[in-house]
Amino acid sequence: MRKGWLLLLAGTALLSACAGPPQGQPSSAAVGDPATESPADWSGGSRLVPQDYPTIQSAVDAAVPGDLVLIDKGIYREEVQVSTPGLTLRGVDRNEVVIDGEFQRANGVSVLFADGVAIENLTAINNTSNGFFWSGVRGYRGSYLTAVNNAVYGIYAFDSSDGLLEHSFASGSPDAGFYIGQCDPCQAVITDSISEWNGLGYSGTNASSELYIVNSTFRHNVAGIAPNTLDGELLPPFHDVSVVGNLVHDNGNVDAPALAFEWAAQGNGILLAGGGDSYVARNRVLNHPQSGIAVFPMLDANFYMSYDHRVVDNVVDGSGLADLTLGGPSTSGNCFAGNEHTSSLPAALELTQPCAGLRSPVLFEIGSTTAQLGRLFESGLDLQPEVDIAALPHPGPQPVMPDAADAPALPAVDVFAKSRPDLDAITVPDRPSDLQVTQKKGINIMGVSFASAAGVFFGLYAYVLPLVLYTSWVVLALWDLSRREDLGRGRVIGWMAAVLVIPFLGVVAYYIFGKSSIPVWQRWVFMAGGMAVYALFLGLGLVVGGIV
Amino acid sequence: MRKFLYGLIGLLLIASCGGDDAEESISGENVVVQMFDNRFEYTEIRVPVGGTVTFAGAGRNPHNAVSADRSWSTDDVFGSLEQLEGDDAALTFDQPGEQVFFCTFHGNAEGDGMAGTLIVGPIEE
Repeated sequence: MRKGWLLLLAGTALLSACAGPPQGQPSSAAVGDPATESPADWSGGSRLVPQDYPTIQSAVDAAVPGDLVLIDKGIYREEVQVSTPGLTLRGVDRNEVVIDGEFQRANGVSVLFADGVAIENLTAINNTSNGFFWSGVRGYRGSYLTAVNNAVYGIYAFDSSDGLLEHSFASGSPDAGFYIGQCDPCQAVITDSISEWNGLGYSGTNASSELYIVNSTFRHNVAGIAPNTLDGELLPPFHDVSVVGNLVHDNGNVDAPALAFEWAAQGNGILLAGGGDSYVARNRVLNHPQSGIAVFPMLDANFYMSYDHRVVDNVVDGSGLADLTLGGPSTSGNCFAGNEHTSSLPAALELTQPCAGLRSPVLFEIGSTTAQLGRLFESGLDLQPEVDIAALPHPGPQPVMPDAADAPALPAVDVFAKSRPDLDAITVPDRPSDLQVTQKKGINIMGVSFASAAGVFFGLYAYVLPLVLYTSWVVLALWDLSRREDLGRGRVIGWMAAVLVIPFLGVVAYYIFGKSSIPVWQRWVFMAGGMAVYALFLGLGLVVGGIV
Repeated sequence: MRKFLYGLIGLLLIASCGGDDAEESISGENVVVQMFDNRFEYTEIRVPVGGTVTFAGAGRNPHNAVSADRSWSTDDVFGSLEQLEGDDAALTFDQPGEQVFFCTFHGNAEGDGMAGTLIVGPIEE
């Protein structure tokens, strides 16, 4: 008995430790290494491609910190690696200066450990990894960039801080159009940009603190905006992300490419997966098969519950499952207030989880969470649609940088301080006149959506069935107690209170300690049988879904 | 029954929290090193002469492992510098010594970013 108790205590202690707020870990790369520091100003030097240098890479290799590499119109079939700080790479015409990876080269432009590099007015297509990529830098800027059909991310900043991505466009990437990952504090802004036809419009794994996604459009992706927590990268979980003033619509596009985790998020507009302390405000969100705005836990090698998110003053409409969803398990710190919406899961979310006043201690909804497990299961069995990114549509011409041929170079130094948005000044974006609410409310039972066969399967077996079993445990325990003559009235009332008031553990305690008149073998079958079915399907989803 | 139930519940709770703790070094005759986004699972690897290191793709981005002096590369056995999730490359090391290795996409030969150190020689039991 002692060993069992110890295991129970250890498990409970570990669960409480692992489900809570941040577990800080240091970053692996030295951000802001003095050896790579950028000059704050243009050196005055310009390297012209192809007039002076036949390739972009040869110009970059010849450049000194603070130079401008000015690229003329043309298709450049090369991969550019930048390790010199403070360069500005600029195309003379965003739509006609194209780096084409031909699905043979990894990155259009990658900046490794060189601070302050700005990339402007360029297009990168058909790379096997990313269109534009910064890693291990302090100071980065991407302006007027177009990234199309790159096989992982369109525009990607990793382990980097002090960044700005603006006036840019990304489409056709199975992971995410825009991605900022593994940074704390990120001190970064994405603004005035468009992301469409990607797995996720925005993904930010373990990206935290002073990170702003504002005034941008996320449409026709598999899912829209998804700050998230994963164990594969350092610094989990994410926290302190602001998503404000964006137009988020029609994400749920099954013809867009997606990896497994992205497929699991299919049909959600904005979802906060497993982090905390984030702020989602004044976004216009419509036409999503699942939830307009959802707060979920995240299961990877560790389990991360969401905590202390604030979802306020958004305008949400046209959601198949619910406009606002709080998926569980969750802590009680997440709150919803002032949102224009017509449905929520659980119902009356703004009443039970308000941002001011008393909150229901624990109230969340499990069906939408198990639906994601179903999506992972689909992906693990290759049931999700196969998409050839080479065949995806290219966008039309995008707005070009003003005066690109003559404007002075500007290294990306202290960009965050200059671009940090005033969130209070950001309003809900207008709805374009040609954008109508087209998504109808779907059928769901207890939060289990009927939009996906695997989702229904896991919803029923991993959620509804255990709930039914639990209900029957309670009913049987109460029936048994009502017939007990060997206990005094006080003890019967005490056990009934425990069964009714203490979720799950109360009834289990009664079957173990209460000397129930139900034979031991029947109690075994009753409790262990149902739990075995639950564990079987949960385990199946985790294994096939590739989580374990 | 009680003992078993206590233990079962405890184990379930423990299992639900199981994660991979970050470790920096590994040693052995045959070791597996996962290549996450964008880091090696272990940044110090020790194998004996004749030992094998399997570099396993485990990220969304492709990765590789290349020695700083370019004397070996996962490309030598995998046939590409782009190992995706599920792609493995096993290299056997017959010469003693210490080398920096890195991913050409996410690190450099100076040991910045996605990089580590391989030590081929006697290992502690």
